[in-house]
Amino acid sequence: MATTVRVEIDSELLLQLRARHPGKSDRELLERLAIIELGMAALRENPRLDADREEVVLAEAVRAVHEARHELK
Amino acid sequence: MTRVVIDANVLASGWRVIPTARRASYSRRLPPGRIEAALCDRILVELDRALQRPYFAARVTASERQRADAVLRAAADMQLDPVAPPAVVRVPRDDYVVALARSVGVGAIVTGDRDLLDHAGLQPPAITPRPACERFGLI
Repeated sequence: MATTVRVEIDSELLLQLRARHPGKSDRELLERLAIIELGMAALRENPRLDADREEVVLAEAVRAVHEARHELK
Repeated sequence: MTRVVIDANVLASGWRVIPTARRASYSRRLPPGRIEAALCDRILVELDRALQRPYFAARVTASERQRADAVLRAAADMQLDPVAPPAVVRVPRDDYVVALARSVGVGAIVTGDRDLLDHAGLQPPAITPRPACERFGLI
């Protein structure tokens, strides 16, 4: 379990965040943003060596999800 | 902001990044805030399973799978799985996607599944990723 730290944030920004996601704590709001930012950055930075066409990838994805959906029935 | 349900097949294809500028990677455009995806646990479970199939397993690491799940749970409007969805489309296993879309009142279901795309008069309508990106001004 990671330790926690106190942070300062622009109060107007925090108010806007709270209004957008009522019911969530300030910690949840900030951690959500961090997960998205860091996760997207990591996914963008991974190099890809192949370049299948968009249609090919989507067709593979449809097939894979059909199989998964069948298993989960 | 436009709300949509994004089917697991579109999420899977989106995380398998292709290094071409023309790619309409819907799932990777979630965080900027122009669209909001309504998802449920079942869609993310299907995504996780799909990414473990041979085609995707050769291209997406376990770490990436976990990160994708965390990002989607954080970025999306997570809903409860539909229970006993009414029969609507040809394949009953797809009905929960329609039920989810109707329960949250989204503008579209983004999918690559022909069973949804070819269903005449489906509400909300099912559209493929590229037209969705064009419709919502993402490309």
